[in-house]
Amino acid sequence: MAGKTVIIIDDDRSFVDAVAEFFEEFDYRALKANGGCEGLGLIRRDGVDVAIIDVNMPDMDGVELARKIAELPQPIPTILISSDDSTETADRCRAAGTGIFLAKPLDPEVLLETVSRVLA
Amino acid sequence: MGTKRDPLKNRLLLVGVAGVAVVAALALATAELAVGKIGPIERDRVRANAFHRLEHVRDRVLHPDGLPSRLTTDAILEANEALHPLLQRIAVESSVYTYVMVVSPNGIILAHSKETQVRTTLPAEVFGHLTLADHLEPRETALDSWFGGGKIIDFAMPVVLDQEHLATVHLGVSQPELARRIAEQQSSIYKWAKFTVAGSVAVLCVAALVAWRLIRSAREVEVAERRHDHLAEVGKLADGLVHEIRNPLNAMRMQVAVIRNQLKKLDEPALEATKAQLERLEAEVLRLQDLATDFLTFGRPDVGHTEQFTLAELLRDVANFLRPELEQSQIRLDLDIESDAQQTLVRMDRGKLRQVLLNIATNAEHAMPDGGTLSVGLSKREGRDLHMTLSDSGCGISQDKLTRVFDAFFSTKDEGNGLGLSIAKQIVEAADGTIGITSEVGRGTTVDINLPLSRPGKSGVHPLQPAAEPNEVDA
Repeated sequence: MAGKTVIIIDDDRSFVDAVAEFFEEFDYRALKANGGCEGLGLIRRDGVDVAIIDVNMPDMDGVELARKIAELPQPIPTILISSDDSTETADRCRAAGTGIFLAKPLDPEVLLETVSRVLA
Repeated sequence: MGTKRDPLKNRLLLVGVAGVAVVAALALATAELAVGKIGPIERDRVRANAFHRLEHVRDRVLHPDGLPSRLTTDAILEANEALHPLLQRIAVESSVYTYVMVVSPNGIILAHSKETQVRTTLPAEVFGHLTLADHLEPRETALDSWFGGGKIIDFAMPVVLDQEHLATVHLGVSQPELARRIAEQQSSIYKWAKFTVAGSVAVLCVAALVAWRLIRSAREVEVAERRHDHLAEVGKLADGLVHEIRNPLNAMRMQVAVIRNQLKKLDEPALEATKAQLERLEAEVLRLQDLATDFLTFGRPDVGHTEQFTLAELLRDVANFLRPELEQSQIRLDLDIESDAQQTLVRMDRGKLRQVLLNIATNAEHAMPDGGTLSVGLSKREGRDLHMTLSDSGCGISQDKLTRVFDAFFSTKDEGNGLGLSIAKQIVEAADGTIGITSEVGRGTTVDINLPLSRPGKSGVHPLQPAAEPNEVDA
């Protein structure tokens, strides 16, 4: 989707790079962050339209971060991703009511579709 | 491994053996002491009794009922009838008493427990060497072969009235009989000692057996715990490994999507070959991702989430999920659930069973490239289990391959990783179920799965599972 900005927040740098490049290829502006604090800073500062957040990060829990984003003066939609596809994590994310949950490994098509749906 | 236990076990055994040795030694020592004392104690007792009896007779002689107070030999002779019963009674009181008699000062037996001995003169050795003074005091004399009774101890008590020696009462104790009685008591003491030793040994054996059992089961628990810890370690490694692999694989997938899109823009015929290459690359990535997922399941048989659920509902769930995809491959899905199996519950990892069913369905799909039918059936075998069948009308599997179908990494397909059915077998068997496969080349393959029935409200936690709360499914 042209002109929209996504931010990818995950502690795995190479993974973040690959996903960012992927979004850039499909005409998004992609921002990168390796932790919750860094991500939050970027969201506050830049005009970000949607955040893709990994649930298991050492410095901040992804669900917690999504909740913080929802409490911002200008909240944005969040997509939580996790390699842990157990029902507990899914339930936890849904219970937080902060957004969508996608299990890793991410399907590129599904990811694009979800992001465009969320921005619509 | 059990090195921590061995010193303890040895110490226990040592203490046990020492304990028994001490008890045995104590028992034997006590027995010896007691035995040693028996002789003197018994003799003292016999002596006291003898003199007591003699006093009794003397008193009777001195103050008899109906006898004159001034006694003469003639009077006593006449009184034998009165005395004899008493003497006889005393004589039979104890087996060690051989005679009781009343003797005149000049040695004539006036009364005797054996009537036939009356009026006999006592042999000189009985009192020949004694002085008059001795006659007036109670005395004890050891005699040899007298009256044919073997060795005797003669107890004598004088009957004195106003310092006049009227008579002497004698009581004979058989030495052999006394010795026999003493020996009897000694042997019963030894018997007691032997019994105590035997008892201690028996107790020790039982205690040793119990201790051995306890130590062994403690060791088994320790081993099981170590194994569980080890499994947990291995599991953590597996988790870590898979996690490390997953992200790069995912990244590769993203990169493939990017490259494909770039190629789309250029879109020259020469690039078609490159696009095809990418497709193959993507297929490899997907294959590796599936392997990672499957391996994670395979490597962690001890972790899972057990819950109670309606099997029929899961089947319907899976059928609805598969139908669209199967229809695209010209495959009809028939689901036949018998009425008595509609509400029946099972207790196991629902997610894993779902994976098993999807695996089998995928195998069936691959076996029917030109379409066909996949029949899924569920029936309840009352009091036994739930019986599930998944039958396809595909190409079938030959008998020689059929025996290996549950082996890990064995596959009849070019693109399979061969873990599907071995995982299925693990999952089903972990739930105490059974899985089997039959096939006919050209006709089709049938997979049979039997799962135990679960009663509503029954709780169950696998001993090696981390405490997972069983969920009650909305019935």
